[in-house]
Amino acid sequence: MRNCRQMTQLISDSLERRLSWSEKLEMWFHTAMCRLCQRFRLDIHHLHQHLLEEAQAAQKSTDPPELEEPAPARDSAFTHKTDDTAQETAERLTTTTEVSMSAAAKDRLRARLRGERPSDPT
Amino acid sequence: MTNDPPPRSTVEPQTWVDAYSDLLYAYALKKLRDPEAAEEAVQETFVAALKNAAQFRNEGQEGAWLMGILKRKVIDTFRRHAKQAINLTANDPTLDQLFDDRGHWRKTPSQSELFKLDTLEREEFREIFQKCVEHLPATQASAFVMREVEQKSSDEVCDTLAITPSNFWVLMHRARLRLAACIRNRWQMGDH
Repeated sequence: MRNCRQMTQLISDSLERRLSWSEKLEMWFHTAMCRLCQRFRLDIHHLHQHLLEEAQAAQKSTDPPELEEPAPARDSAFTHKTDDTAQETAERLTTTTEVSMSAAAKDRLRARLRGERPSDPT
Repeated sequence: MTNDPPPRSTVEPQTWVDAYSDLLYAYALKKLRDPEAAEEAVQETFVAALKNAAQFRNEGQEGAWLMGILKRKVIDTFRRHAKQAINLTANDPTLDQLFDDRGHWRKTPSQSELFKLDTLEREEFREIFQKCVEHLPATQASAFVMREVEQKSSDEVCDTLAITPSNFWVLMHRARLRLAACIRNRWQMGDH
Protein backbone atom coordinates (compact mmCIF):
# COMPACT_ATOMS: atom_id res chain seq x y z
CA MET A 1 0.00 0.00 0.00
CA ARG A 2 1.26 3.44 -0.89
CA ASN A 3 1.62 6.18 1.69
CA CYS A 4 0.28 9.67 0.94
CA ARG A 5 3.54 10.89 -0.53
CA GLN A 6 3.60 7.98 -2.96
CA MET A 7 -0.11 8.35 -3.59
CA THR A 8 0.32 11.97 -4.72
CA GLN A 9 2.82 10.71 -7.29
CA LEU A 10 0.20 8.31 -8.62
CA ILE A 11 -2.44 11.04 -8.60
CA SER A 12 -0.14 13.31 -10.59
CA ASP A 13 0.66 10.43 -12.95
CA SER A 14 -3.04 9.99 -13.65
CA LEU A 15 -2.82 13.23 -15.63
CA GLU A 16 0.17 11.96 -17.61
CA ARG A 17 -0.44 8.32 -18.37
CA ARG A 18 -3.13 5.66 -18.32
CA LEU A 19 -3.14 4.03 -14.91
CA SER A 20 -3.54 0.28 -14.58
CA TRP A 21 -6.75 -1.03 -13.08
CA SER A 22 -5.09 -1.91 -9.82
CA GLU A 23 -3.52 1.55 -9.65
CA LYS A 24 -6.88 3.17 -10.32
CA LEU A 25 -8.55 1.05 -7.71
CA GLU A 26 -5.91 1.91 -5.14
CA MET A 27 -6.20 5.59 -5.97
CA TRP A 28 -9.98 5.63 -5.61
CA PHE A 29 -9.81 3.63 -2.44
CA HIS A 30 -7.16 5.87 -0.91
CA THR A 31 -8.76 9.17 -1.90
CA ALA A 32 -12.13 7.99 -0.65
CA MET A 33 -10.66 7.79 2.80
CA CYS A 34 -7.91 10.40 2.76
CA ARG A 35 -9.15 13.96 2.68
CA LEU A 36 -5.75 15.57 1.96
CA CYS A 37 -4.96 13.31 -0.97
CA GLN A 38 -8.44 13.89 -2.31
CA ARG A 39 -7.87 17.60 -1.96
CA PHE A 40 -4.60 17.31 -3.86
CA ARG A 41 -6.36 15.37 -6.59
CA LEU A 42 -9.01 18.07 -6.94
CA ASP A 43 -6.42 20.86 -6.79
CA ILE A 44 -4.34 19.55 -9.65
CA HIS A 45 -7.40 18.77 -11.73
CA HIS A 46 -8.64 22.32 -11.26
CA LEU A 47 -5.19 23.65 -12.08
CA HIS A 48 -5.15 21.51 -15.22
CA GLN A 49 -8.64 22.69 -16.13
CA HIS A 50 -7.80 26.36 -15.62
CA LEU A 51 -4.72 26.11 -17.82
CA LEU A 52 -6.61 24.19 -20.47
CA GLU A 53 -9.23 26.93 -20.58
CA GLU A 54 -6.53 29.57 -20.86
CA ALA A 55 -5.02 27.72 -23.79
CA GLN A 56 -8.40 27.33 -25.48
CA ALA A 57 -9.20 30.99 -24.96
CA ALA A 58 -5.89 31.89 -26.59
CA GLN A 59 -6.70 29.54 -29.44
CA LYS A 60 -10.00 31.29 -30.09
CA SER A 61 -8.49 34.73 -30.13
CA THR A 62 -5.57 34.10 -32.40
CA ASP A 63 -6.05 37.14 -34.61
CA PRO A 64 -7.29 39.93 -32.35
CA PRO A 65 -4.45 41.37 -30.30
CA GLU A 66 -4.33 40.94 -26.55
CA LEU A 67 -6.27 43.79 -25.04
CA GLU A 68 -5.24 43.56 -21.43
CA GLU A 69 -1.56 43.20 -22.04
CA PRO A 70 0.09 44.43 -25.24
CA ALA A 71 2.73 42.06 -26.50
CA PRO A 72 6.26 43.42 -26.23
CA ALA A 73 7.52 44.86 -29.51
CA ARG A 74 9.66 42.35 -31.25
CA ASP A 75 11.99 42.42 -34.19
CA SER A 76 10.17 40.83 -37.08
CA ALA A 77 13.12 38.54 -37.60
CA PHE A 78 12.32 36.91 -34.29
CA THR A 79 8.66 36.31 -34.88
CA HIS A 80 8.07 32.66 -35.55
CA LYS A 81 4.57 31.78 -36.56
CA THR A 82 4.73 28.12 -35.67
CA ASP A 83 3.12 27.72 -32.27
CA ASP A 84 2.02 31.23 -31.55
CA THR A 85 -1.07 30.43 -29.57
CA ALA A 86 0.70 28.20 -27.10
CA GLN A 87 3.50 30.70 -26.96
CA GLU A 88 1.11 33.57 -26.29
CA THR A 89 -0.58 31.72 -23.49
CA ALA A 90 2.78 30.92 -22.04
CA GLU A 91 3.82 34.53 -22.22
CA ARG A 92 0.63 35.78 -20.70
CA LEU A 93 0.93 33.36 -17.83
CA THR A 94 4.62 33.42 -17.18
CA THR A 95 6.16 36.73 -18.16
CA THR A 96 5.87 39.59 -15.78
CA THR A 97 7.77 42.47 -17.27
CA GLU A 98 9.81 43.04 -20.34
CA VAL A 99 13.44 42.38 -19.63
CA SER A 100 16.61 43.73 -21.02
CA MET A 101 20.18 42.85 -20.32
CA SER A 102 21.98 44.94 -17.72
CA ALA A 103 24.79 47.26 -18.80
CA ALA A 104 27.27 45.25 -16.75
CA ALA A 105 26.18 42.05 -18.48
CA LYS A 106 26.63 43.71 -21.86
CA ASP A 107 30.14 44.78 -20.91
CA ARG A 108 30.94 41.21 -19.92
CA LEU A 109 29.55 40.12 -23.25
CA ARG A 110 31.71 42.58 -25.21
CA ALA A 111 34.78 41.54 -23.25
CA ARG A 112 34.07 37.92 -24.00
CA LEU A 113 33.59 38.64 -27.69
CA ARG A 114 36.85 40.59 -27.88
CA GLY A 115 38.57 37.48 -26.60
CA GLU A 116 37.17 35.46 -29.49
CA ARG A 117 38.39 35.89 -33.00
CA PRO A 118 36.04 35.42 -35.93
CA SER A 119 37.14 32.59 -38.11
CA ASP A 120 38.64 33.62 -41.40
CA PRO A 121 35.88 33.60 -43.98
CA THR A 122 38.16 32.53 -46.78
CA MET B 1 43.76 44.05 -49.49
CA THR B 2 42.11 47.40 -50.01
CA ASN B 3 41.21 47.11 -53.69
CA ASP B 4 37.86 45.30 -53.52
CA PRO B 5 35.23 45.34 -50.81
CA PRO B 6 34.72 41.84 -49.44
CA PRO B 7 31.93 40.18 -51.43
CA ARG B 8 29.90 38.90 -48.52
CA SER B 9 30.56 40.70 -45.29
CA THR B 10 27.08 39.87 -44.07
CA VAL B 11 27.79 39.57 -40.37
CA GLU B 12 28.74 42.52 -38.24
CA PRO B 13 29.78 41.15 -34.87
CA GLN B 14 30.68 44.58 -33.49
CA THR B 15 27.01 45.57 -33.69
CA TRP B 16 25.61 42.40 -32.13
CA VAL B 17 25.63 43.36 -28.49
CA ASP B 18 23.75 46.61 -29.07
CA ALA B 19 21.42 45.23 -31.70
CA TYR B 20 20.49 41.81 -30.37
CA SER B 21 21.55 41.19 -26.78
CA ASP B 22 18.30 42.46 -25.25
CA LEU B 23 16.08 40.38 -27.50
CA LEU B 24 18.16 37.28 -27.10
CA TYR B 25 18.42 37.78 -23.37
CA ALA B 26 14.67 38.29 -23.00
CA TYR B 27 14.03 35.04 -24.83
CA ALA B 28 16.64 33.11 -22.84
CA LEU B 29 15.34 34.47 -19.54
CA LYS B 30 11.76 33.64 -20.38
CA LYS B 31 12.70 30.08 -21.18
CA LEU B 32 15.35 29.45 -18.54
CA ARG B 33 14.02 31.62 -15.68
CA ASP B 34 17.51 32.18 -14.40
CA PRO B 35 19.37 35.44 -15.15
CA GLU B 36 22.79 33.83 -14.90
CA ALA B 37 21.94 30.94 -17.15
CA ALA B 38 20.30 33.34 -19.60
CA GLU B 39 23.38 35.55 -19.77
CA GLU B 40 25.55 32.53 -20.30
CA ALA B 41 23.35 31.25 -23.10
CA VAL B 42 23.56 34.62 -24.86
CA GLN B 43 27.34 34.68 -24.48
CA GLU B 44 27.63 31.17 -25.86
CA THR B 45 25.39 32.15 -28.74
CA PHE B 46 27.59 35.06 -29.76
CA VAL B 47 30.76 33.02 -29.38
CA ALA B 48 29.34 30.18 -31.47
CA ALA B 49 28.10 32.70 -34.03
CA LEU B 50 31.54 34.28 -34.31
CA LYS B 51 33.13 30.91 -34.84
CA ASN B 52 30.65 30.04 -37.54
CA ALA B 53 30.43 33.48 -39.12
CA ALA B 54 32.01 32.18 -42.31
CA GLN B 55 29.05 29.87 -42.87
CA PHE B 56 26.54 32.66 -42.61
CA ARG B 57 25.44 34.12 -45.94
CA ASN B 58 21.86 35.18 -45.63
CA GLU B 59 21.94 38.95 -45.63
CA GLY B 60 19.42 40.72 -43.43
CA GLN B 61 18.57 37.63 -41.46
CA GLU B 62 21.34 38.01 -38.94
CA GLY B 63 18.90 38.30 -36.04
CA ALA B 64 17.00 35.16 -36.99
CA TRP B 65 20.26 33.30 -37.43
CA LEU B 66 21.42 34.33 -33.94
CA MET B 67 18.04 33.38 -32.52
CA GLY B 68 18.36 29.95 -34.09
CA ILE B 69 21.68 29.45 -32.38
CA LEU B 70 20.28 30.70 -29.08
CA LYS B 71 17.37 28.25 -29.22
CA ARG B 72 19.80 25.37 -29.47
CA LYS B 73 21.84 26.79 -26.58
CA VAL B 74 18.69 27.11 -24.48
CA ILE B 75 17.83 23.49 -25.13
CA ASP B 76 21.37 22.47 -24.18
CA THR B 77 20.96 24.38 -20.94
CA PHE B 78 17.56 22.76 -20.27
CA ARG B 79 19.14 19.36 -20.64
CA ARG B 80 22.06 20.18 -18.42
CA HIS B 81 19.74 21.54 -15.74
CA ALA B 82 17.36 18.62 -16.08
CA LYS B 83 20.19 16.19 -15.59
CA GLN B 84 21.24 17.98 -12.41
CA ALA B 85 17.66 18.21 -11.19
CA ILE B 86 17.14 14.50 -11.73
CA ASN B 87 20.29 13.68 -9.81
CA LEU B 88 19.02 15.69 -6.89
CA THR B 89 15.55 14.23 -6.82
CA ALA B 90 16.34 11.80 -4.00
CA ASN B 91 15.32 14.34 -1.38
CA ASP B 92 13.44 17.47 -2.11
CA PRO B 93 13.18 19.87 0.85
CA THR B 94 9.71 21.02 -0.16
CA LEU B 95 8.43 17.50 -0.15
CA ASP B 96 9.90 17.00 3.29
CA GLN B 97 7.96 20.05 4.41
CA LEU B 98 4.74 18.56 3.13
CA PHE B 99 5.23 14.95 4.24
CA ASP B 100 6.67 13.34 7.36
CA ASP B 101 9.17 10.47 7.44
CA ARG B 102 6.47 7.88 6.92
CA GLY B 103 5.10 9.75 3.92
CA HIS B 104 2.00 11.09 5.65
CA TRP B 105 0.85 14.66 5.17
CA ARG B 106 2.19 16.91 7.88
CA LYS B 107 -0.40 18.76 9.88
CA THR B 108 -0.63 22.38 8.83
CA PRO B 109 -3.04 25.03 10.08
CA SER B 110 -4.54 25.57 6.66
CA GLN B 111 -5.23 21.95 5.88
CA SER B 112 -8.70 22.00 7.31
CA GLU B 113 -9.87 24.75 4.98
CA LEU B 114 -12.24 23.46 2.41
CA PHE B 115 -11.13 25.59 -0.46
CA LYS B 116 -11.47 24.76 -4.10
CA LEU B 117 -9.17 26.11 -6.76
CA ASP B 118 -12.07 26.27 -9.17
CA THR B 119 -13.64 29.12 -7.26
CA LEU B 120 -10.83 31.40 -8.46
CA GLU B 121 -11.67 33.94 -11.10
CA ARG B 122 -9.53 33.84 -14.20
CA GLU B 123 -7.72 37.09 -13.49
CA GLU B 124 -6.97 36.12 -9.90
CA PHE B 125 -5.79 32.75 -11.04
CA ARG B 126 -3.39 34.24 -13.58
CA GLU B 127 -1.77 36.51 -11.06
CA ILE B 128 -1.35 33.84 -8.41
CA PHE B 129 -0.22 31.22 -10.88
CA GLN B 130 2.40 33.54 -12.33
CA LYS B 131 3.91 34.21 -8.93
CA CYS B 132 3.89 30.57 -7.92
CA VAL B 133 5.57 29.40 -11.13
CA GLU B 134 8.35 31.88 -10.46
CA HIS B 135 9.04 30.13 -7.17
CA LEU B 136 9.45 26.70 -8.71
CA PRO B 137 12.93 25.30 -9.31
CA ALA B 138 13.88 26.04 -12.93
CA THR B 139 13.54 22.55 -14.34
CA GLN B 140 10.22 21.88 -12.63
CA ALA B 141 8.93 25.18 -13.99
CA SER B 142 10.15 24.39 -17.50
CA ALA B 143 8.60 20.93 -17.49
CA PHE B 144 5.32 22.15 -16.06
CA VAL B 145 4.98 25.16 -18.36
CA MET B 146 5.78 23.16 -21.48
CA ARG B 147 3.30 20.47 -20.54
CA GLU B 148 0.40 22.32 -18.93
CA VAL B 149 0.67 25.86 -20.29
CA GLU B 150 2.03 25.29 -23.76
CA GLN B 151 0.09 22.01 -23.89
CA LYS B 152 2.93 20.04 -25.41
CA SER B 153 2.85 16.26 -25.39
CA SER B 154 4.76 14.36 -22.72
CA ASP B 155 6.97 12.91 -25.43
CA GLU B 156 7.89 16.34 -26.69
CA VAL B 157 8.77 17.61 -23.22
CA CYS B 158 10.86 14.51 -22.47
CA ASP B 159 12.57 14.99 -25.78
CA THR B 160 13.37 18.66 -25.17
CA LEU B 161 14.68 18.03 -21.67
CA ALA B 162 16.33 14.73 -22.68
CA ILE B 163 14.79 12.90 -19.72
CA THR B 164 12.94 9.61 -19.37
CA PRO B 165 9.16 9.54 -18.88
CA SER B 166 9.50 8.43 -15.27
CA ASN B 167 11.85 11.32 -14.52
CA PHE B 168 9.36 13.62 -16.19
CA TRP B 169 6.54 12.28 -14.02
CA VAL B 170 8.64 12.94 -10.92
CA LEU B 171 9.23 16.53 -12.01
CA MET B 172 5.52 17.04 -12.70
CA HIS B 173 4.58 15.54 -9.34
CA ARG B 174 6.90 17.92 -7.49
CA ALA B 175 5.85 20.92 -9.52
CA ARG B 176 2.18 20.13 -8.82
CA LEU B 177 2.72 19.65 -5.10
CA ARG B 178 4.52 22.98 -4.88
CA LEU B 179 2.05 24.81 -7.08
CA ALA B 180 -0.99 23.49 -5.28
CA ALA B 181 0.49 24.46 -1.92
CA CYS B 182 1.62 27.85 -3.18
CA ILE B 183 -1.67 28.75 -4.85
CA ARG B 184 -3.57 27.70 -1.79
CA ASN B 185 -1.31 29.73 0.51
CA ARG B 186 -1.45 32.86 -1.59
CA TRP B 187 -5.17 32.62 -1.88
CA GLN B 188 -5.61 32.23 1.85
CA MET B 189 -3.24 35.07 2.64
CA GLY B 190 -5.07 37.26 0.17
CA ASP B 191 -1.66 37.97 -1.30
CA HIS B 192 -2.50 38.40 -4.91
